[in-house]
Amino acid sequence: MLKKLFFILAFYVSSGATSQINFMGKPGLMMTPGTAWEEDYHLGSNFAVIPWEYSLFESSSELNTTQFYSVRAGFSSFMEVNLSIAHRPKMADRIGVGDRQLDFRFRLLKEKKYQPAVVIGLSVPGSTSPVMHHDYLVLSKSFKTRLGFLKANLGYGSPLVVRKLPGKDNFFNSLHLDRKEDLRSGNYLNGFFGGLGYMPVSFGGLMLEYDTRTLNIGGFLKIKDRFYAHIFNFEASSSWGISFSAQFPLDRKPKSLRDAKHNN
Amino acid sequence: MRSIIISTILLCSGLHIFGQEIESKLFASGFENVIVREEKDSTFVFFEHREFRDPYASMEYANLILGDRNNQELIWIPQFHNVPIGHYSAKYFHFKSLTGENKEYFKKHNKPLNNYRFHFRFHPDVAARFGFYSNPFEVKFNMVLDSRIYLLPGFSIQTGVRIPIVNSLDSQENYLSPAPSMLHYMFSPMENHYLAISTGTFYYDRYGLDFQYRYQKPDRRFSFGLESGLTGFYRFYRDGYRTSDMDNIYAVGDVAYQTGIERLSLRLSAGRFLFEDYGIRIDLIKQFGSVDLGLYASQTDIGSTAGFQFAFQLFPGKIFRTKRVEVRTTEAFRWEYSYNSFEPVAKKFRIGMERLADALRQF
Repeated sequence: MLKKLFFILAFYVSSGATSQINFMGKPGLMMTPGTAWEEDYHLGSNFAVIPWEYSLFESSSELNTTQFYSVRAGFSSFMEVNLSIAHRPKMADRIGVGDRQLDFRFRLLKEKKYQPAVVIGLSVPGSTSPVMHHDYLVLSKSFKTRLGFLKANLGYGSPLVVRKLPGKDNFFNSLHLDRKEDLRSGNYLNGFFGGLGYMPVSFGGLMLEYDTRTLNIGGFLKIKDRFYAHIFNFEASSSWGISFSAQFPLDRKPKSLRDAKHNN
Repeated sequence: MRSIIISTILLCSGLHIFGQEIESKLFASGFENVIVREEKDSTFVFFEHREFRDPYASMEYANLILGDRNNQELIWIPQFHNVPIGHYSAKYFHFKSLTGENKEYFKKHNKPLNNYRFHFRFHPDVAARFGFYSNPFEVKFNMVLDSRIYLLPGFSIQTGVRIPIVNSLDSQENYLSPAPSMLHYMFSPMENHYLAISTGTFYYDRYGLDFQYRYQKPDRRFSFGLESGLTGFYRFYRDGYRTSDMDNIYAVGDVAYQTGIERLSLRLSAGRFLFEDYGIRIDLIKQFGSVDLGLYASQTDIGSTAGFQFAFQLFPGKIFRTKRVEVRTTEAFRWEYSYNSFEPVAKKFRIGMERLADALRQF
């Protein structure tokens, strides 16, 4: 009986890579980045809510509940760009739309049988309060087991961050290297982080991660590789984060041409 | 002797029918100004397909419509704004510059007034600014319904109406007004060199004169060009319109390089930009076909910025088509986002059609 169940589970596991989308719209787990690369879906959009208790904007204020809006664009098989807006609706009258962040992901290595996938992520400097900045290197390896897909991530987040000093005219003169721990929210993605993703079925799975700040667990559902819904929990508390994500291809032919091909 | 004459006549009429068949089949599928020139072993087909942003999509479409013809080599000659760009073999899409013979043939048979449908084009016009504290999402969204009519070879008029949908960005009230309307003349004085001159009202509240030059040979990696203009501000209000003097001069030269890696290209521009700021701008552009994505960074004497832009053919494309009329969505909706929302660094403006650099990059 158990064997049969194993067989059925193994059958449902797709042969492709497992990928989930993190709170900033990047491939990853919940709060940590990963190495997955969406080759067919060049454009991604994501919406996430992080509760105020675990907001990246650290101050013990209920106003810090953050909505993340992000767009991801795959420029090539080795470079991706992500734009995020951290909108804090309860503070919008004071801070406007919120912190914007532009960052790049570069794929250094593709996963092979004995080789992990390696991705480097870099934030574009320019913020005077680089709370959302993170620069990291992450490795991952996936394993196909009879009980489903397992993916292990291990990464290192830079303890240094480039900050823009306010009130300087020249952009390049205004950049200053700081230790992350001296800034607000300095303990997120600062040092070694890692996580596990487990997909017993092709349409969902479970996640566990350490983002150098908190230990998080969560689950996700997905429809093909296009639509994702995640729910996750911080430090086994009663606070939950959620995110929804949709991925689109950009290389589709115009509709008239597709219709004609279809009819031919 | 008689049989030779008869067979020659038959052959010629057969060729003629073949040409007409190409013409009518292509025209029915949205191809316009279809001109067929039949030679001994190859057939040259000039066309313009305004629904598609990507000329390769139109050539692929043409291949699909005409099917495989083994004995005759087909050569596509796509046009942009009634100007033929070059030869593409139907089989491999290999580019060759336009020959003098074909240029002459096109000149003789080009009938801009007769050979185009009347197009109604839906073209959204979006302007947005994020970041102001009192209202973080300021948006101005208009739907433009416009048309381009070719009057003479390469010479066209574009005009229409602007239908306001929402405006939380500026003081313009919601009422119907003329869409950006301009006269446009494009021509190619030499092989792979193009010039375009526009005058009228443009997007981004500009009016005046705009000039573009570009050298682009599709099988070469380097291309270069110049964009320049003399413009002023205008805006329609309920009781008429307001303008500022036409005294802003901009002139920006650029060099572009197609890297050959996954259709990525780089473009370096320098000069005096729209708000008379001197500086440089660098663009990284990825072409997906119907979609272009771009990243840029710029620095001028009023500040620096970075951002992204995109351009795509709006879904669904053709809505309705008869022999004389076509209703469609725009072939190129373009939008640019600048990180710096306070200083208009290295600004450009849209003239109402794709600029030469963006259109010719597709070929």
